[in-house]
Amino acid sequence: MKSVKVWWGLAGAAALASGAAKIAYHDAAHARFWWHEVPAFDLVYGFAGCLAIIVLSKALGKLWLQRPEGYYDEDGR
Amino acid sequence: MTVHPGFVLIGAAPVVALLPARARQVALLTASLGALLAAAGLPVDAGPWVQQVAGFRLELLRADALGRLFALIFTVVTVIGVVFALHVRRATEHAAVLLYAGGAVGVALAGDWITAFVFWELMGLASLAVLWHGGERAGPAGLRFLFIHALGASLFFAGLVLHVAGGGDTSLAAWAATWRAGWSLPAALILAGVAINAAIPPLHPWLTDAYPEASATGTVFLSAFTTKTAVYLLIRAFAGSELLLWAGVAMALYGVVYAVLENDIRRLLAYHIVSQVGYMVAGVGMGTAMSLDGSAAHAFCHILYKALLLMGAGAVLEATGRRKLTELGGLAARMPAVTALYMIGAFSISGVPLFNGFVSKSVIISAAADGGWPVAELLLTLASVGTFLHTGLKLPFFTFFGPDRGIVPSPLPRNMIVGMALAALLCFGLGIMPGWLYARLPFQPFEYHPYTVDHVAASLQLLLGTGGAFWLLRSKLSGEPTVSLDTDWVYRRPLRVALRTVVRGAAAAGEAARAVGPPFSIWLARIARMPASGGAPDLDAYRAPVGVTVLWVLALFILLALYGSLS
Repeated sequence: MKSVKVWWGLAGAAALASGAAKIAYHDAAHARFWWHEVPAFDLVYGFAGCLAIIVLSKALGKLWLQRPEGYYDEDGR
Repeated sequence: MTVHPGFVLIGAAPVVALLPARARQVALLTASLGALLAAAGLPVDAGPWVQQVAGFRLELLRADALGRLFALIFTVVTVIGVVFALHVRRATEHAAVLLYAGGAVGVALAGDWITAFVFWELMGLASLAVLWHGGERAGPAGLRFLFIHALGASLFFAGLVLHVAGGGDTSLAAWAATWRAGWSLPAALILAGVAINAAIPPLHPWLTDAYPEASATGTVFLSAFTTKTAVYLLIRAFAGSELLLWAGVAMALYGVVYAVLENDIRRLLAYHIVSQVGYMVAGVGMGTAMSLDGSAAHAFCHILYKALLLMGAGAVLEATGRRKLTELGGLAARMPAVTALYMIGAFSISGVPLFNGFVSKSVIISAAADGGWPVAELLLTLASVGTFLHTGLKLPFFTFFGPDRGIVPSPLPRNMIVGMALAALLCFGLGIMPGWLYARLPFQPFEYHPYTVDHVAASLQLLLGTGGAFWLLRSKLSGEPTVSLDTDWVYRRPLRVALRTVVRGAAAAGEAARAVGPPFSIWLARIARMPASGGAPDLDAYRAPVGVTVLWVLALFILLALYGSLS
């Protein structure tokens, strides 16, 4: 469990550093849309996007797409 | 001297099929390295090699920057894959691989549609031969693969015939004018044929159905050639179609959704081929010089890291005989080299800075921003999140780390590790020296700087956010022993049932006719009031005597004789 805490610590530090870097070295010439101006946008987008992908895909799978492994093997159908 | 690298590979195929094991290895390495040298040595704007066949002008070789780039990467991955597969004793599989690679190179260097189509077909048939060297499921999966590809080839061919019949020029150089003039039936048909090979949904399931059933070594080649020759033709012939932009974006996300549900590691990676080709198709759809260069660059990088990932999955399959997340786990300590090399592929596909996916995928995403497609930019970035989630986190976590199932892998042949190491070296090399690739892109001048502080920081944030969400929900992501319905359901279920119903119906009708026929004819004879002799009617009673037939034949001869004497 200790190593997990270390990883979270490192990730947090990297997130802070990247946010700071985005503020310090902000490249206005390459900002096309408003979200390119938000220092922590990609962090939030990555986190929320990943949650959304998992939840939506799992829901699709459970409600519709997932079948038992032998689904295509049953003979006589 | 200009040597056609595709001819080197195709010419070596029969030799490789016939040689004994040790000599075969030498021939394989010689042929693939020879082809690589020939591709690397192609002069700028080589060709054209012109042949007149039946009034058509065939250009067997015409190499501009785009064709040379694809010929180069196809021969590079052939060398890598051949090294990885060097221990394999199936001579025919090796021969099929060389034909397959030669066909792909042939398409990339073809100067006209007819030559491209012939090599395209060679590639399709050879890929089927490669596929059929897989396990027992490869047989039926290959048949389904064949049907879909036959459909694609028919559409392509029909479009080509209509194009020629309409007075169209068969040279690819002249096609640009036809395409710029707008949609036409030939263009739509050819595009549909190419789109099937590019695995654009809903025409994609041949890929995710068949590729994971090939041998551990065969899948590496399959992942490299078919979809990427299609991308090549899309860049060359169909640039700038808004339809392709959105098809590409949909593809990129489609593969991601299915990868969440997938339990088979090679099928999971196959869904990520669909997803990654989506970026390239989207780049073609945007149609700007930057986006087309991005598509070409991403195809180049993708071939390398996807080969590396599938070699990793193939090595796991070879060493453990297992391919499902629910049956794997804890292999990192026992297969450290495979784990480390796989992770380089995973970092590359995920767009981690210093690896090659970072320098090519971001070109397409930046092109979307520059071209004024905010929605496409956001959705392609979202697909990138999904890519890291599956190939960078979920697959390695549950295969190499995660719960240890006490699997004892058998030792791997050294050449497999060498093949993976070669691909990993190139993934890393291109990641730190993107200028080498950028200088070879088709639309120059190409200027792009991936390593700005802003871009690196944003990429790290995206990866960190994804990693955090994965860690929170990791218990939900362990594999489940299921298969997922995809569009192949249509021909694996209802169409199969319909066909079976038709066949069974016809068989039942035949049986019924056989059972009912004799009593029915006797009954007919009865109601015709034929005289009964004994119990059953005498069927010969009213038959005309032989003499009548003789009379008619005689009359015919007389008529013929008369006709003969008169004329």
